[in-house]
Amino acid sequence: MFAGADLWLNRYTKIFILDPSGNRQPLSDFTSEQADLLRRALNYPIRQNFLIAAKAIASHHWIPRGERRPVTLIDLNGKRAGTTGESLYWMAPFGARGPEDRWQWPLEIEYWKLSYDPLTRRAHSTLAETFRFRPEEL
Amino acid sequence: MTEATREISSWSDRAKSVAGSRLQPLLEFLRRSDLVDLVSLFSLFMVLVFPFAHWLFQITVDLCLLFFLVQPKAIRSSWFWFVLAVAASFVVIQDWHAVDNHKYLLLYWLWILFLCRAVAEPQWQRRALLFNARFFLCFVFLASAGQKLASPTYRSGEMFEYYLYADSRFTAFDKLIGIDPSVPDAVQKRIALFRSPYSKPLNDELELPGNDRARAAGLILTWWDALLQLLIGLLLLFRFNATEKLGHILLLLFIFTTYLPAPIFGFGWILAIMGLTLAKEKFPRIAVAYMVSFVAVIVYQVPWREWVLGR
Repeated sequence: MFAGADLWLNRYTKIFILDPSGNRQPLSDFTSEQADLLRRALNYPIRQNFLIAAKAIASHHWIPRGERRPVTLIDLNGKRAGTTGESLYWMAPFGARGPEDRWQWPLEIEYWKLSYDPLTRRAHSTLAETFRFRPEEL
Repeated sequence: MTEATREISSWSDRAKSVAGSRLQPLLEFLRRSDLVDLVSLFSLFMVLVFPFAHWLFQITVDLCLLFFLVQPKAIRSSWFWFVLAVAASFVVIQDWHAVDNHKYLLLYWLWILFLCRAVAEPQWQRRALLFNARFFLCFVFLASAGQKLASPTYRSGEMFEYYLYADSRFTAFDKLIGIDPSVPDAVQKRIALFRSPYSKPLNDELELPGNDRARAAGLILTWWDALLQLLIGLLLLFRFNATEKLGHILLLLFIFTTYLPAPIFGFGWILAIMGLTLAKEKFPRIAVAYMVSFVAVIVYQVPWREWVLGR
């Protein structure tokens, strides 16, 4: 370990469920098993590992919690600089899905990487890859 | 000689004499022990205390321990190590993408113990163990140093500075070196803005509220770690007494200093076992120091981070 800055600590995911109208809604509040599988996938970020995590995510029902929330634009110093005009639900797990319930929604996992420049003290995030999983895969 | 110098000299002589008398039983124990038996014993303890996190391996270790307690000679059987090595291989193959580096090293070590015990001639067992301990210590440290020195994000200090901010396991260490916990806390909150689907940093860029002390500490850790590992690998490569002795002293320094902030205790133990293997016959006092390092790595598991952070 400790061999370079590209490691799980600098990687993260954003996970979306695609609703019937094609809108993406972000999933959150993962169970400890789902979070662990996502951490493992970040440790070795290949499609096969993200698919394992996606299957665990699809083993639960997901429901919107509360109202839609606007997506806020953030300036360099972490202050609010407006909104993107987009608003998203907060999707949370709602019990385990039974074997008779077919999963119908595609899942999208965005795999992001952070880099940090110690001279400017700026961190930059880059979307490394987007993994899309069809309902029949899950 | 002044009165003060005489007093210091006499105090130092007394300390040496006390340390010597305390060391004597340990040195005698080492002298009487067979190298392969001693290493087998510590290796069994290691897989028991720092096992692979899988039920199959843990049950296998428990059964092996029970077998050993009933029949201590079992540890000399190649079957004993074969069973442990097969269970470890199963876990590693099944979980290969998530297994830590040092667990791979532990797996190799278990197979070495099996092969060692499979050889009938005790002299060849000893030689196989010595060869593999040296090979793996040199390989691990030289490969690690090479990978670090070849990585621009390691050499720039970016990696360790980022660790000091973003890895919560380092927060207590930060406090010990004078970085207030509010600094990593503020950085982590800023990084959370990247991760949230409800916030979008302009140009995907944010300034992290770090400080100069973390920057300096990051650079010191970067070069301390890489150079220390390079030196250990190089010094143990040669079999001259002077270079090997210095290599052992640096390896002990590495074990004592690394596994306090970095909670990878199994790694510390396997390195200490390999060091002990090489030192037992050539440098008995250094071998005793490796035994002290076994104790230290176990003691490092105390919740000192919570104590430092007052949680």
